[in-house]
Amino acid sequence: MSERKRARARKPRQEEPSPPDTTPSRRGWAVGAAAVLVVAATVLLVQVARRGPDGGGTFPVPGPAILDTAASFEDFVGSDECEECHKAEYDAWERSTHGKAGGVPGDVRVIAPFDGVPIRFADAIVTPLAAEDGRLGFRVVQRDGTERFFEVAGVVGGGHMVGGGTQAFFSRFPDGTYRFLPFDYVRQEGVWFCQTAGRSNQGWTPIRPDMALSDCNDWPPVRVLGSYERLRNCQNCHGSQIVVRYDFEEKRYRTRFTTLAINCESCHGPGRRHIEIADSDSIDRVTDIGVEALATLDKDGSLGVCFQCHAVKAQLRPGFISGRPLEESFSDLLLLLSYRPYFPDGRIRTFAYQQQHLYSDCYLNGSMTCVDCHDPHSQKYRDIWGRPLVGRFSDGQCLDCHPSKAEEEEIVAEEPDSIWRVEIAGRPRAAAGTTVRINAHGRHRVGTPGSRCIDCHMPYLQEPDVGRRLRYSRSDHTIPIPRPRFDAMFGVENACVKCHRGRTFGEVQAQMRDWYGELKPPKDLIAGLLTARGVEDPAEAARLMLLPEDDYVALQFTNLSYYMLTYLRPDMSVLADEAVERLQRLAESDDLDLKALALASLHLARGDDPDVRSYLAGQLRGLGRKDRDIRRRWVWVLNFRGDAYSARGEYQRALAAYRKALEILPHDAKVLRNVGIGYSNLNDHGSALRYLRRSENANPNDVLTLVTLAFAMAAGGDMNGALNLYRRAIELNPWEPTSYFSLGNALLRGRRVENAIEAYRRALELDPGMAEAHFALGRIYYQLNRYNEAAAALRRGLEFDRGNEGARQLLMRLREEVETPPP
Amino acid sequence: MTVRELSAFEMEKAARLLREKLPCLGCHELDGEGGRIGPSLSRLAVTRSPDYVFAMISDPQGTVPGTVMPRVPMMRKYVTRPARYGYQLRVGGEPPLQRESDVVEETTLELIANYLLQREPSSGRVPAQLPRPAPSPPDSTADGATLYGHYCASCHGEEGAGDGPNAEYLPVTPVSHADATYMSGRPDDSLFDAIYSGGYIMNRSQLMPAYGWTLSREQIWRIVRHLRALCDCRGPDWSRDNR
Repeated sequence: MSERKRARARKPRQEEPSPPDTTPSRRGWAVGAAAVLVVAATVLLVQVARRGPDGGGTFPVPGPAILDTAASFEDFVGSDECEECHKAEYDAWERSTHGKAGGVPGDVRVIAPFDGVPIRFADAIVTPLAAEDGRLGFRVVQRDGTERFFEVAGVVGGGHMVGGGTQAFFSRFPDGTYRFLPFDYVRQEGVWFCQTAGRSNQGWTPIRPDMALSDCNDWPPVRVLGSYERLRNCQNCHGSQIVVRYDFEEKRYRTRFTTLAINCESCHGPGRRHIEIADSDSIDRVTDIGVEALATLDKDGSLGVCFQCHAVKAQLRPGFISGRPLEESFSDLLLLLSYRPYFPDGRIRTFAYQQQHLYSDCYLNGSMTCVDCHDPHSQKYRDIWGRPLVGRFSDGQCLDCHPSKAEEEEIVAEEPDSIWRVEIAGRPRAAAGTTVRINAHGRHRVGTPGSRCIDCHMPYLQEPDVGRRLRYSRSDHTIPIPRPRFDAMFGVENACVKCHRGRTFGEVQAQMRDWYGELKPPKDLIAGLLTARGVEDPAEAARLMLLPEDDYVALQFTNLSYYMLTYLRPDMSVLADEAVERLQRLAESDDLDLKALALASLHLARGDDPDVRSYLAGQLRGLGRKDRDIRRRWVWVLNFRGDAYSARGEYQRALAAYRKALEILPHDAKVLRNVGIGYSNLNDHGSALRYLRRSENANPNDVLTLVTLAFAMAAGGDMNGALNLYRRAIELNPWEPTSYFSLGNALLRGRRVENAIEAYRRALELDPGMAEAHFALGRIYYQLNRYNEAAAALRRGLEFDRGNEGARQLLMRLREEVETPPP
Repeated sequence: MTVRELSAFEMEKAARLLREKLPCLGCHELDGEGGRIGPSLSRLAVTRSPDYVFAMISDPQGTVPGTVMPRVPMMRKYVTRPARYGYQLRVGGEPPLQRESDVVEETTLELIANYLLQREPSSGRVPAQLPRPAPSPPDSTADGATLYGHYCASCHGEEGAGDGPNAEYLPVTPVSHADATYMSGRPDDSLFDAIYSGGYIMNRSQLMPAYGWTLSREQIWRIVRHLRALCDCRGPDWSRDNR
């Protein structure tokens, strides 16, 4: 370490620097101002000194947005247009799971029974009904007598998946959205079920008469088909070319889709130009036929086609439609920071999709893509040379790349009392002492289930978030070597134990050692991450976890996400040079997500260090065509950290993260709004108003910004101005419950209690599951001594937010006060 | 065998597959790019008949006994054809197919052959081919060193240093099998797999072809044992399955 760096590292820094816009207290103002001036002048001098002729540590403004000439909804023609010329592919697709993935009633096979047999909850009866004309719907009658009917407008899934196949239903709502109904059907068990995460937390569970309707986390229905940032959504994957936008003229959402199946253009992109070229008779003479040859994509390009949907994605901006570059709108890795879907080795910790293939050795050290095993048209199985295979369990998926593992040998059968004996129906056990053929690598008798490659390397594993009540298992696409130690550490079902029930960790470990001796060591990145658990020193942790010399992006991202969350916080006074250097080397990655995370990490932790700042500025200047994609990801990370700090009440740190995001996208409406909220949380209403107004200028139609600004104005005493803004927000989008909820908060703050009650009630008409509005009403009624109404409101809110301790305590106090007679 | 006329799009697709997915240019030169072991592909339409080209790609050993050219199994991957061209079912010796719709007419290598036979022949001077390896193929009892000398040494060098005469024409340096440090990290099974199925599946150069359709398993294991002799090393302990 240089003397200069050492001196800087030793110099104590303020852990929680006051934001520049914070108004200083009157006491000590003069001293503070003088100090600020001196520090500012010093910093300026240092920065000027460090800047080269190209601007040094000054962050360059974002490059111009790339002209958006990509696909729009009108460019898609539907799969039927493809059939005439591509009959073989069309026929294969039509019979495939993609071809049968969903549709509208009448056009799709419905496996769920719409037979009038009620689905009974403790507080509601839901009756699936079918009309003579084929229309389907659910009649929902709640205990309080309210009755609603949801006509089915969309069917998703057909119970196709071997590991557990389901069918779900969407209904069209008056605001123009298609919303997911909480009554799913699972084919194998033949029962209606719903998802209970965040409510009763029982995973996916068959609906029972002792369950409340609100045990289902999609009751009341709010999750919409398609991607819309302000609404919980299913992204774009349960259908093709789903476009949701808000129509400011018609004052409602507009949902469009080509089909609820997964069509040809979901992978190939828009077909209109291709059809036009084909019809023009020039198609044989031109190289640009309007679609790309997907067969020529490289490994990551090919995977990217499938990861449009088979991945857990973070949305970076709205407007994605197949055919546009996915990376403009979604990130495949950023959600690893927040959702944490994977264990360090890539196996599923919560709920995820086949993106975990990115952790497999077949990807990391091989060329394997999805279409090496899955025929993209029929979704049937094939080998790497394109030869059809008999099915999902065929060894052909593996042995063309691993032919060395195809060898067999003869052994003498063991004694029949072996603890490993598994009875296989219809297959008599070889008598002890007789000769049997085994797979030389797998050590199982040829032809038995345990001898197949995928039994050990791609076992079907239950998705943990689903729970154990319903089978929903998916083949492990990390394609791991069975490692009993990792299985025990992560709580993942061991592949051997799936057949050899009751065998202990020790027995499996011993058998593995007997057969294979020393197991292949895990990747250095995985081993490093596990070793670093409990390490407190960020420098030592960096040495263990951050290994830029390795070339495994998903693992690098996993480790860096752990590192950032564990060791980095805004404006750290010290971060060892070695850690900074490792972060800088990771920031040199060509991968957008990894690069952005590394840059955001440096920015968050050491963004005020002149050397780091100069480095970041240099990186920003060199982004070129990746400028927007990197900046969006960088800002996503900082906003995520800001939101996390905010949720924990660490408002200074939240503001610091938001302000750094603003350095990267200075004119972004959402970033400006976050900074405004950051100041608002610190009760700096002047600064809050300033940033919220800038956000409003950047996007005058953003309802959330308007209501946030309105609330800040109300908090600053300008109730009339606030009410005008609320009116404008409600005029723009009368379906937005947040506008009414925020209005209620502002009115309450202005002691206009009856108006506040009215606003909260309106919010609840739009979203009956808005727990905060129920709680607000509960508190108001309590203060007005309207105890019965208070209790009802609190109870209603607790149905949807069961962990809210404040509401629970208020309800208890209410009971005590009502039940205790006054002295 | 007649040459099927390709569309401009198919020509471009075939050119990309040839350069990015297939091993052909490891041995054959095309417009100045590629190896010098086999004949140049730059003027194939004027130097070879279509019958010869199609026969060579489907059965090199049967067409030219002793050739080092392996049979490359790129059956149907990468190719689909619109129906307007008409489908002819060619099941041949492939595994039974479930439906006609699973079948496409053309194999990948036939697409490539069609491309090479109808592209504009190069007008420049065609580079000279390297001296041919031993004219007669090693017999089935040949040891690993003999097999290595016949099939591998042109790129990897007689002593396995990655410096065979063809190496200078390749965009990547062939693996040095004499490099004990590198080879100590490679399990025997991985070496076998790479010889059997080619470099592409190992995420390495696609220019290393698959020999699993040309050599027997025993012959490949003999080559693996010769690689161990060249590096005077063995694979990692964990890779030996306790044997």
